[in-house]
Amino acid sequence: MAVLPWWLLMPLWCVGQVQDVALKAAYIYNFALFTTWPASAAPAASFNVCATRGKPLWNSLQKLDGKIIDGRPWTTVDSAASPRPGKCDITVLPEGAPAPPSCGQASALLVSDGGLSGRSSAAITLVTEDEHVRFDIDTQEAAHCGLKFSSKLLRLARNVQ
Amino acid sequence: MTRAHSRLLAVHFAAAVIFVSLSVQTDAAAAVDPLDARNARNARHVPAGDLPASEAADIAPDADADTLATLPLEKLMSVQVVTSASKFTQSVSDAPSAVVVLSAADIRDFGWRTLSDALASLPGLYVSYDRNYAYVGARGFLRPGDYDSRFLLLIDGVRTNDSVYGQAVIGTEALVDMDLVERIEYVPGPGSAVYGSNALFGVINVITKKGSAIDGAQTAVAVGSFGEKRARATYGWHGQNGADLVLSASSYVRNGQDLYFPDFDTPDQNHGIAHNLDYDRAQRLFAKAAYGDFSFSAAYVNRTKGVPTGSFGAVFNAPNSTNDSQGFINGTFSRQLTAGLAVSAQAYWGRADYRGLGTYPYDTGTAVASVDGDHALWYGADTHATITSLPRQKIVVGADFRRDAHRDQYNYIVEPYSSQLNDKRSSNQTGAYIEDEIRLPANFTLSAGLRYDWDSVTAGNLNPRLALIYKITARDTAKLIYGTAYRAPNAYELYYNVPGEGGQEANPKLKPEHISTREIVLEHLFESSGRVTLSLFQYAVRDLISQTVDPDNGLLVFQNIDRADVKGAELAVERDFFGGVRVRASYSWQLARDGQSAVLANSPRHLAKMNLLVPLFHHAARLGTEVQCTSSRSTGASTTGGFCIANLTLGSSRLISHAEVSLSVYNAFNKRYADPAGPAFVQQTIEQQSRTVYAKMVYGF
Repeated sequence: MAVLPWWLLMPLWCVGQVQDVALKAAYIYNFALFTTWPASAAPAASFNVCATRGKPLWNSLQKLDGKIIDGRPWTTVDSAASPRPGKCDITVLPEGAPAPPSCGQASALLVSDGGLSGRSSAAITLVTEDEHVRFDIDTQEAAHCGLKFSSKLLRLARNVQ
Repeated sequence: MTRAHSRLLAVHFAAAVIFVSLSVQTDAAAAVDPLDARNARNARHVPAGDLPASEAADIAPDADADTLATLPLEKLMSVQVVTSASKFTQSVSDAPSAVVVLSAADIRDFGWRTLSDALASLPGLYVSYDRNYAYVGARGFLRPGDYDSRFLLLIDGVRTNDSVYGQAVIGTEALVDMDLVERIEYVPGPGSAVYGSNALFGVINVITKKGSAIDGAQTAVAVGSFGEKRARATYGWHGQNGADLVLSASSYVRNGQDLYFPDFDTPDQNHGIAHNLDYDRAQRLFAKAAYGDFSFSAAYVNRTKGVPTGSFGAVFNAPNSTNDSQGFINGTFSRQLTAGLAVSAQAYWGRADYRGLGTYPYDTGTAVASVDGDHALWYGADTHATITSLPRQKIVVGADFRRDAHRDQYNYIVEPYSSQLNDKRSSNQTGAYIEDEIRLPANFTLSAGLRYDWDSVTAGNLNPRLALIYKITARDTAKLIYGTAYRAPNAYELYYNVPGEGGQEANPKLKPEHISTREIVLEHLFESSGRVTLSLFQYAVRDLISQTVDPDNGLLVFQNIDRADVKGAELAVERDFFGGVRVRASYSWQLARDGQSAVLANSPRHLAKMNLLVPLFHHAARLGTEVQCTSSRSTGASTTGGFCIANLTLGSSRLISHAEVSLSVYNAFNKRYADPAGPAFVQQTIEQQSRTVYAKMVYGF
């Protein structure tokens, strides 16, 4: 009988996770374009996207560094290294991570990677469904943080509550 | 949703890879508010954002976030990601079993038409077919005469094993069209600590697609060898308030072929050729709706199959056939009451009817038409709570009740009418269970479950399951699993009683059979994607319910006569390679012996499998190749030869706009092979399907 071919166990030729995570990062970039943040007295010089270093989306988010969002360059920031509230314009939660209880003064747009279940309490949850990536919007969560979504974003969302 | 969801859907596989874009629409979204207008203007500054659809369709599979971010949101929504089952989250590693998940993409890419096709690709599982029903075996264990009662089959968390045969229907008689399946989760090992009876060797959980995934009207048509035709119409709808609806109807017909059985090769038996008796017809209906905390699902199937084998002593080449219809209705309420407490309640109703028409030799030497059948009807409720408020613990506690209101069996001779069996039974079952997943120090997790079942026929049963999970590194996990499970004898085994040749006698004194299992699972997640799993297992079955022949009268009878020991090892690998190539491969070795140390019937020592997906023509098409090898098996009195078969499926979603087309060749090298038959057959083996070709198109409106 055949035994498992040796090359199955070799680390060569492997494709990374880029494609899946790249698409989600591109979604998050679009969310940034179609969200209005409350006016801040002293906005940071950069548009800070806080994510967890080492989690699947990290590398893809970093590839967007330097893109201009409302006059400020997209900057991917390690949540663990820079946890100060108010420094994040977007906070990206990895799959399974609980959402912070309140946005308080932070006014960060919480985007959660909901995997297949799509369950989270973030303002926007990314979900993989039938080979496509979709997103659910929780307007109450967003309003709580003073965020407003464009009608286009609301129209394209799978669920809006 | 249901209990099964809360348990099994903890097994998420993460978003996935592979990408292949689709024909995407140009971004002509009208800017309706200031923010949209601003960004519509912004988009014009981005050259790639204005890509015509034809160019956008060529988004490279390795396009990074930087490139994809230049595309408008509408285009991103049409980019396809193939959900690869190898992309698991850590939660699969945490599951107290070697769970395997098959996705809708797998079903499409490998052209699986039935649940049995999909299950045959899983590590350690193998499928037999007797030209009527499909049977699944695990860990070297597939008892002749058993109708898949040792697996629990859930559809969206609803138990579907019926109340007479306890049958998990997986062949063309299955409840749900494979096109409607979002994924299949297979949890090997004993599941009685959660689910009670039937979950002896494993739990098969079929999760169907949501309306949002189907999104509009969809039709499918297919034609294949031996007069096979399939048609399906499905409508899926999803509202932004979360309301979701799926409605589907499908029809299947296959003329089949004239089959030759040498055991019947006499002039008065048409020289062993069963003429026009391999036909197969089925119709299916499916509905699912969800709104807020409530969900509803219903399914119905009606299948008629010609029986060409002369089984159960029927006259060969006579118009023998079986008809099976089954349906269920289920309602579920689930609510997250507080951050640490979720509750779920489920109520269901199900029925299954079987009716076999056969011609049998009679005492007088003449042949008579006979009808054999059953009527199964059951209903029940389940409620459970999931508590996560305690630190480092997740507790599920629940109770269920089921009333098997009809476990009726009948058999009669048509002309002159003479009842041979008219047995009406009912029974009640109730169970209570608790599971606790405790995160211990030093990267250990203990998963402990205990369930007590009581039923009015076989009294009480207590089944524990313990799994100690040790996370050696972030990517390496070791699991030590002990569990027991039981199966109550079904009504067919207990009460079926028909005298005469090919008949059977009842045995109401049957006791439940029990299994205890020990398993070690080592799992390594690759850095990029995929995993390798090694499993070593030992299963011990006692009071095994086996079909045997009563020496006093020559009738078939079920008895708790046997015990069995199975030991084995299983190695499984899933990987993604450069360019979107995906591989899933496994090798299983198992030795299953009875109390006399004889190898069990229909128990292959070796199983080797590979599923390979290769994108072609810059991802315009895909080639799915499936190879399955099974070593020789005992039939009791003889042996079937080992074999390898290959199935090929070439598919494309680019060839025709809005359509997915595929061409499959099953048993591509036309390998002749056979499955062991069982005591109800004159034949020792039943020859399996020769090469067949199948073309299919799914069109979305």
